[in-house]
Amino acid sequence: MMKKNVYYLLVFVLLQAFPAHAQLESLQQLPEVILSDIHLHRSSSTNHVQVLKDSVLDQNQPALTSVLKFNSPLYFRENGPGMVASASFRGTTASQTAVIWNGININSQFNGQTDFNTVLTSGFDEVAIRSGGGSVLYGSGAIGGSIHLNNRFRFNRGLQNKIQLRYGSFDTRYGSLDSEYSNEDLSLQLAVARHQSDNDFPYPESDKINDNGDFSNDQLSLSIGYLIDQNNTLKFYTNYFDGDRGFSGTLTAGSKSKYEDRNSRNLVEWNSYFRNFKSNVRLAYLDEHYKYFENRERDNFSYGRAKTGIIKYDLRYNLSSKAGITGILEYQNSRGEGSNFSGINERNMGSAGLLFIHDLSPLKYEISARAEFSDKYNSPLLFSAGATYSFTDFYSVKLNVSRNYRIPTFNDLFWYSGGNLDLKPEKSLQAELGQNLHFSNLNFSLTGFIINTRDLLRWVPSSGGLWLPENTKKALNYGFESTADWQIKIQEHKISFSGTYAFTKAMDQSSDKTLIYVPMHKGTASAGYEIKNFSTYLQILYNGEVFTSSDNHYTLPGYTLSNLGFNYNFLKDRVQLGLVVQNIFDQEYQSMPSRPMPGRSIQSSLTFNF
Amino acid sequence: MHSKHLIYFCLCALLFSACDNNDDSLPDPEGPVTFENGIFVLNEGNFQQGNSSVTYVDPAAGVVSHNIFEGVNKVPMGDTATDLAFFEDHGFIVLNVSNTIEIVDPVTFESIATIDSDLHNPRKIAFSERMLYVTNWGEGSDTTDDYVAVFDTQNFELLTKIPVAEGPEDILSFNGNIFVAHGGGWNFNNKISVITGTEVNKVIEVGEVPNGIAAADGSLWVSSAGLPDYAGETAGSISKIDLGSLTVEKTFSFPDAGQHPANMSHYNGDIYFTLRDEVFSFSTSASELPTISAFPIEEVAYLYGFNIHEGKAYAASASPDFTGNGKLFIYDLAGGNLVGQYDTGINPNGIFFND
Repeated sequence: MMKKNVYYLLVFVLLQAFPAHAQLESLQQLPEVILSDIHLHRSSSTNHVQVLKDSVLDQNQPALTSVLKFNSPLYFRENGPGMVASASFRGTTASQTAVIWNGININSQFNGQTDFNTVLTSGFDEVAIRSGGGSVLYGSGAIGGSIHLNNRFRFNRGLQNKIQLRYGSFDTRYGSLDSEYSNEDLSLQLAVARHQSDNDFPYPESDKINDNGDFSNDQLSLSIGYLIDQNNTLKFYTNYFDGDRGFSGTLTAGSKSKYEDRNSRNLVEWNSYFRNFKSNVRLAYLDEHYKYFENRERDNFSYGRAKTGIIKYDLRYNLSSKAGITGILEYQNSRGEGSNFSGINERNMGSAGLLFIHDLSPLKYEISARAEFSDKYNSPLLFSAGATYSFTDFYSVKLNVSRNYRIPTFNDLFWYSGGNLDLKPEKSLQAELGQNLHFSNLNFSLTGFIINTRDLLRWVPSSGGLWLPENTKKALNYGFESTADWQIKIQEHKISFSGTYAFTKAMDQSSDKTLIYVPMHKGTASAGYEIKNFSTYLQILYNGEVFTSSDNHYTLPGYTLSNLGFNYNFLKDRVQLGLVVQNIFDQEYQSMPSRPMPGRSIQSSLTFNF
Repeated sequence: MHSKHLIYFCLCALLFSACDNNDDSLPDPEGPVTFENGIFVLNEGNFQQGNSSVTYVDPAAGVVSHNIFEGVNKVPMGDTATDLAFFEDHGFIVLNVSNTIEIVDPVTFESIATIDSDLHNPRKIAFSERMLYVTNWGEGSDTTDDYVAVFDTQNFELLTKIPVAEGPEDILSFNGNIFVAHGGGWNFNNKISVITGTEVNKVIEVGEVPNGIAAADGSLWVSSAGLPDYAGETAGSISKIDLGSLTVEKTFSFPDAGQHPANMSHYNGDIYFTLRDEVFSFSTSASELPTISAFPIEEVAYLYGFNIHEGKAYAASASPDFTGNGKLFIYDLAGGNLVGQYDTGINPNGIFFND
């Protein structure tokens, strides 16, 4: 249902903005014109895809962590606000959640993860959460699911600008500029954002403050879309993130360290349409660079830098209006160097995939497979098979079975002390069954899943005292996720609710213990109310208790957080004033042991649209 | 507007009822409120998780008390405990990541004082005549800022900092001298510093990565691990240093590069060390390394602490992935039989006695 909504939305936007082209091209071509991650909405109908609305992005703190933890089933562990944050999706590990930027996997080459506090949501038109296996389409790490950050092109809209300023507790400042210009065949988007904070909140029930937790992040995004002619489109995307932060201390230890991130991502894409073919060439270049300073007052640092080049070719052939087959070829070269590696290490990977989609309304099915070859590891044959069946126009069922993987990282392979070239990728075999209810103002989904993972990569101590990565563990994860949203308008009153809930069991198959940092329960709820120029919203997050030790002896208690926000629009919606109180009940909680999170805090915002 | 309030109320009620806050991350100590004649196991905990603890075991009384410092003092002990020692009327606990030394009453474990300045990556502690010596790495990445801090054991004030070579780790007080083994910290080193009073009096070269020192019968015995495989693996060695001349009298080298001895100990005229999961012993007058082990310690998942005391060997075992509770195994030194085993806190790295 979510997919349908988005599709309608895309079509709607396009019809409004771009009537000439909309008439010339078949509707199926449209997503390619405006979105690079074509598979997210076209080839993911047997997975659950949750798209977060702009209003949701605006309600949350600028980093991706905040918006996802309050609005999705993902569970986050954070070393504090702005500090390292990693996600767990369906009880899988942080490196089994892929982050996909305009269709390109941007998880770190070094640790296989994305630090969700190093991505600002500013400048992205769409943040989507795709649950379940997606390695055939998105590569390594798409086991628990994937997070998609997309830019979308609009045409014939002239110049539009948005400036947002925020100020709040602990000297937290945020400023962003989003500009967009488009005419008939050119669309330009520019987004610049800065987010900084002293982040020196007092620890509850303690005379200590959060020491050395300051951060300052800048992000620049630029997207250019150009319609060369009726059959050819050229797109360019770039994203640059520059973050400096102290790594905060804990309840029992201070800290002096500092961490710098410099990440750039660039993508050029050419789409062309001829007869029944659609061709898509993508060239991407990713550069990730970190520096770690043990003592921020000194010049000594350790660093890592990895550069990745990707070339990807998708060719789709429409057998009929109902059936299409797509071939996908990809080549990737990564080179990494750093203080913990000797010399420059290189990894090459090539893959070939085939995707078949057949729409026999009310039944639709998708079958895909991918074979991969690498000079550093042996990949399994990946596949995905799924079907969706619409019993009525408001009730449908989805089934998907897939095999997915997570490749060894540069750290696993090349770390100077312990790097192991004999590692295998982590492999999963997984299935999910979902059902969706879709009415005009009510959506509800319930998806059960099971994931069997083997060859899980872990760093384990050897008898010589060295930690070495090994393919050791097997895990079995199962549970269900549910999402719901409901809107109603009574005269001038607009009321909306949305919620997510995830029940997760994740077991180490050899010990029968629960995996650490996987809550059995995670839930979110939000309610909004709007009248004329005034709106208010409440967000609630519940994270259940988690085990912090593999013997399941130590735990961190669960907690409930609530945020309450107000917005007031004036001058014909050109200006918006906002206020949000975070953690209104001053709940004491820790996301990681010995790291208290902030109590109640306040943030104000001022937004101009012109 | 009424409907809005009702909605908020319902949502809150629903979610709060699902939430219970039971903070049982660290259990209160059970058993006696005094700690005498028993075994103190120091648990390092996890880096930056502030969960270091001391487990007290009294096998005769059948008593095991976990987390006794926090239980008595109601505050966490600190982060990454690396050493515990008793001197005169005090117990001292070194907390590496917290950069503190907690000073407690050795019987009640009540906190007396905390040294929280002039420490920088403190590691191990020793005493000589009213002076407390503690090894400090300084910045791990800096090879030139390492020192031994000296404090007064009565008022806990800093007396001096003695600059020493990279990576001072184990420290031993014997006959008025302080011996410091430089394992190398983040790097590798191969030195023993001899400190007399507040001066480095001599630096003696031994095998790479000295990790244990013991003194017996006019000699200082040093176990050196050798280099690990990523640094061009070398076999470990044992050095016998004459305490009179402070020169290396004999070096016993292990035959295979994969052999990395640790836990140098002296007991009753014999030298003990560990190699993988076996305990070896040889006489202080031996001319060759033993080729056959005294006994295996196979029960140990990952040997993380070791001591010999009154005819028994104590081996502390970390849980296989270092996140959960460890175990203490007690062996009878004569026969190598397992005579006791107890649960400990997280990552036990040392076994201590107050005698």
